[in-house]
Amino acid sequence: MRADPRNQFGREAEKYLTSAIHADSEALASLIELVRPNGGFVADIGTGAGHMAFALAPFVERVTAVDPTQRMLDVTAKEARRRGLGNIETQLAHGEKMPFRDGELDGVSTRIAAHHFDDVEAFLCEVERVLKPSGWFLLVDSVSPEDDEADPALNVIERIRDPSHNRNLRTSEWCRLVRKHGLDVEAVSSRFKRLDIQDWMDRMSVSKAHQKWLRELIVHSSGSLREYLQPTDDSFCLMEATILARKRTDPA
Amino acid sequence: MISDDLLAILACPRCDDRPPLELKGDRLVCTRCGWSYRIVDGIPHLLPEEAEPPEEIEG
Repeated sequence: MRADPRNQFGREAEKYLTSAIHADSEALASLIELVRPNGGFVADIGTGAGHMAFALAPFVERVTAVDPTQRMLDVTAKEARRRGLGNIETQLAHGEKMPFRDGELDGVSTRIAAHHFDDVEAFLCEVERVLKPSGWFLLVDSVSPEDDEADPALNVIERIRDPSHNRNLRTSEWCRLVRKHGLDVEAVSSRFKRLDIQDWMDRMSVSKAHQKWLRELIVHSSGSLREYLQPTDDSFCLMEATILARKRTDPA
Repeated sequence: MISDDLLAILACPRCDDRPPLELKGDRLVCTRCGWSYRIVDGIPHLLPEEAEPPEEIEG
């Protein structure tokens, strides 16, 4: 059975504030350039330590940073105050059951979080429901290879490292599901992020025994999984996809 | 604590049609089902599993 992300992230909250992958200011700036948020009320779902919410805050009236983990929101709220961002509010809630009225939000983002969601389709139903017509949706998440062998193998590796990991979808799956839920895909891009194996494991406090196992699986991977992971002795790659979509004004 | 414009768009995550919430003391209360949500250190806990039924908060 999959672990509850709230237990996993309650322990690790502070690490996510300083994690290079999560705090990457260049990546965040390029997301703002892509979305071009222009005022209004937006929500960042699975906000973690709040990096996406902080990046959005100067460009919108109000950001609600949503996460199911209290410790994460404590970190986010404290950091928002430190940065003088007065238009960020934090809220404990699930992405699959958003506590917003219909059609009230100008934008919804989720960055490096969707692989924890219990039910991605329920989440996308909620995104469609809470967005105003033409409201934007930004998804950033690690994605699986478009390969029937490497996809499940990658997700096994992710689950060993983080028992609350549910699944990295493939980019093609995300695009199909986003379109299915009343949104038009406007931009899709992907890039490989190179990660230090030890840092990646330490962020989740992986046990010594599992560390050895994970290293073996990554460094000695083969076939299409190896092509995706591109391992060295101490690093490997994960592909991250970015999808910008907009709610249809005239639902079919 | 909770701004009026945020309160205006909040909804009860227990109810399928997401009816509005109203602020009563230090709780957000569903205008339909009457279940309530705590606000802890300024953070609303809008989780269905943490909602409390009307009789518990009146007691």
